Amino acid sequence: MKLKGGLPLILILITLLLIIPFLVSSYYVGLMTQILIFALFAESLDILVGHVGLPSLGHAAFFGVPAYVAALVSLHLSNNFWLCLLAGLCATCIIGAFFGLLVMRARGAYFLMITLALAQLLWGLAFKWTSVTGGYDGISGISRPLLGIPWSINGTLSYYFFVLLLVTVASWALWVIVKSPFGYALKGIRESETRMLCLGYNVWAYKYMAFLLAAAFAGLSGVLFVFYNAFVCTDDMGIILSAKGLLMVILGGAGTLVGPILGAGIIVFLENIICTFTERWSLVLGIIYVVVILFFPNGILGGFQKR
Amino acid sequence: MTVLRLENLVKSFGGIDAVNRVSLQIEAGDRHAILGPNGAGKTTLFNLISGIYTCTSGRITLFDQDVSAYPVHRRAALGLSRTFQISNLFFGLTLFENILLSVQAREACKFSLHRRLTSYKYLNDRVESYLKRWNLGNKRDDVVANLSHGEQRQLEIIMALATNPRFLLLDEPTAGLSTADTAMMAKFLKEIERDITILLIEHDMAVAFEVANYITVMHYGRIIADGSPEEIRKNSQVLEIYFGED
Amino acid sequence: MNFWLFQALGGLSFAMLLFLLSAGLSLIFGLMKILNLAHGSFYLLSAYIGLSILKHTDSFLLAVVISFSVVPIIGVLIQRFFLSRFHLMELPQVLLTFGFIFIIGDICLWIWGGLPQALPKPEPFSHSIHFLGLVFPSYRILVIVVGLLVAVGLWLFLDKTKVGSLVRAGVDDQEMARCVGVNVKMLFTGVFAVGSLLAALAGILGGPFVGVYPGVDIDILLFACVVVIVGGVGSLKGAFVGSLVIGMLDNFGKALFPEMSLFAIFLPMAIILAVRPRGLFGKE
Repeated sequence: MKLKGGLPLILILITLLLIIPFLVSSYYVGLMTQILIFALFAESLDILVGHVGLPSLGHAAFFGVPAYVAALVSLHLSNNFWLCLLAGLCATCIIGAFFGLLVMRARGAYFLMITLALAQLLWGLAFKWTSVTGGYDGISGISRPLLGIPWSINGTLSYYFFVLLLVTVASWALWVIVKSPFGYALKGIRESETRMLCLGYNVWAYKYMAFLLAAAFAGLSGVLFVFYNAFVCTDDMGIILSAKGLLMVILGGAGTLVGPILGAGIIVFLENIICTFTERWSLVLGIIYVVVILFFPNGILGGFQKR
Repeated sequence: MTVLRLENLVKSFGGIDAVNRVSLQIEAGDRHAILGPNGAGKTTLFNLISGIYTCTSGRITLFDQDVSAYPVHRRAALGLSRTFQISNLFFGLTLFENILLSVQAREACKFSLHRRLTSYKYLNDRVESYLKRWNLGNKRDDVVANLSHGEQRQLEIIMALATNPRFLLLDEPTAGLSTADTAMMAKFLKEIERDITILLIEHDMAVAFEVANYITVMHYGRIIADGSPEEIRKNSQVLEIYFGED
Repeated sequence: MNFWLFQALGGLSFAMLLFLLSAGLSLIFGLMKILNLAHGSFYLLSAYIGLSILKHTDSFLLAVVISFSVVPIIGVLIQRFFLSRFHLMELPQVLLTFGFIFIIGDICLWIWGGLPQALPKPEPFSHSIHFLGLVFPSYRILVIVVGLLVAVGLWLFLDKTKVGSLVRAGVDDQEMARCVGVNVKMLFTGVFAVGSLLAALAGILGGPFVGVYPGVDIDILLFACVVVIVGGVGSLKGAFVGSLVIGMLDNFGKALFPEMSLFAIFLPMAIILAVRPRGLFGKE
């Protein structure tokens, strides 16, 4: 996607994002905040799925763990947002660094299975380690942090703009990375690892780095989430979240970076609407999954489809 | 200087020796061809040299360095480049992007995260010069999957050359090409600079004899003959393999 | 001493259950390149069906017969009408099975509700027996025996029968198998049916002691995946050895370090991935 052609669209989008919150109720502002957070989550997953070609079903681990860590830091150590964020990112990078070492030699469905297993084990740990994580009940009562500058993010509207700011900056950073030599190399790896190796690229190093980056950006979205939600539980690092993320990427178009944003918007919006009149959201999600894979495997924006 | 030295190379798959005690030496500037019927072990040999396979036993020396244990990308970094018998291109990317990835491969900027690739003018210029030389300028934004077979084979070679190699492995460069394209390819191969050493696998004997100054013939994983094109032409064993068994 | 023996038997019975599940998962993945994530859902469905039948008829036999029919039929329908459209394409197939996890899981939740339940044990096996100086539930012994019988049966089938050798050949080299004239479509559907059947068996057998609850499909899937990672894809021996390792470690882990028991299965998986990524007996 060329930036020049999309520039007017992006400007329109940003304008809308700036104006709409003043025109709608706080319920919708909250919804938009959620969409932004999960858009970042989906974008980070797109680095792995769409750009390197590694389908991860364990990405929720990089969302939930920093959420828990940030929550714990804010409750017990300091209410400073940046400190909580730093702690969350460190945690996510440590886990990413470790998991990365284990998964890097896998590909395709095998990679998917390993990431699934690793993330589920982490989920199980969170579930059982009740003394720290609160187990099934999670951690609640998390208050909005302080920024250290005279801007209070306690309100729905103010937190929305804070999230909008950070997500925009992060998305721009991801865009730069994707268009850089490093980003192009990732695409090459997705297309043919052997060719990249024979050209002289250290494919393993690239994959590992991409894994860490994806983890870090997901970590940011996790921390933003926990302060939005005021509550974190094992649902925020489980397989359902990973699956939703993957669906957002595929639905929007893997490898386009913008597609996942669209996918996130659609899925979050649908979930909120459908949950108001039926308990069968899981069933709907499953059906959407099957329909998308069968009929729109390249997503709305026509991303690539790996065999 | 000796570009490549293979010493008693063996590669076994289960019970079969695809490559059986092959020894070979290639000097700088050589145009060395490997001939042999299907299954002779030629592509396996290439995979061993480039590092895709590890040898069961034996030693590989590249530019006076023992690379037997080196991973693929490290050997490539020494100046080794190869093409594939079945085009191994970045099919989902455009022609321009394919060559760009090749051109960027030995540059320090390939790890850069913060600048747009399109802003590196010198890289873009190099890609444009390749496109011009091979007359593919009008296809630069075409997705490679949509190019013709001949164009894809050309891209295979461009990709290998764009990394400025010192040693080029060409795996059946004329595979599937028309007679006219084959003649063009042979002409092109003869015109490659002398400071690039070439090792090529060829099925088309005419092309091999035209391009190479030294020929090795393999059969069932072993070398059964090597020498100058004239010597090979007269070698009875070779004649029997190619013509006697029909 | 008694403690160790007791735990070992418990671990062995869990291992046999895992084997039933992971053997199917591994062979299906190895042969058809389908990572059937819905395998846990087959377990879930089978257990719930068994539960209902048992509640209404008290006949374990009937429960077995019905779930052995329903679950493989659903499995074959999924394979024929959805998965086979993406023949040999790993990723779309696994994502489809993932969609079915949600569909089957939510339908089960809808029909059977959210309370954790356990199948009642069949009459002849509902008591404990005295065995090697311990008091041990005879049901667990039944599970061990059934598991071993299935293991032997599968091994004989793969090793000694013509169809079995076709399956093994297909796992080793798809294209060659097809060239030799194997009816790939029938073979695939057959293997998928057998795999689903094994998962159904696991559901009925596991129902009484693992229980059935919303989420057990994911929990048991996790174990099956770890077994396949440790044992190696496409290998029956791998599924067996892997199940033993994981089953035993999990049982001892839960007995000795309850809060950290997941490390017991995480450790072998991490070691295998680091040292021998294709698993103990995997190909490639």
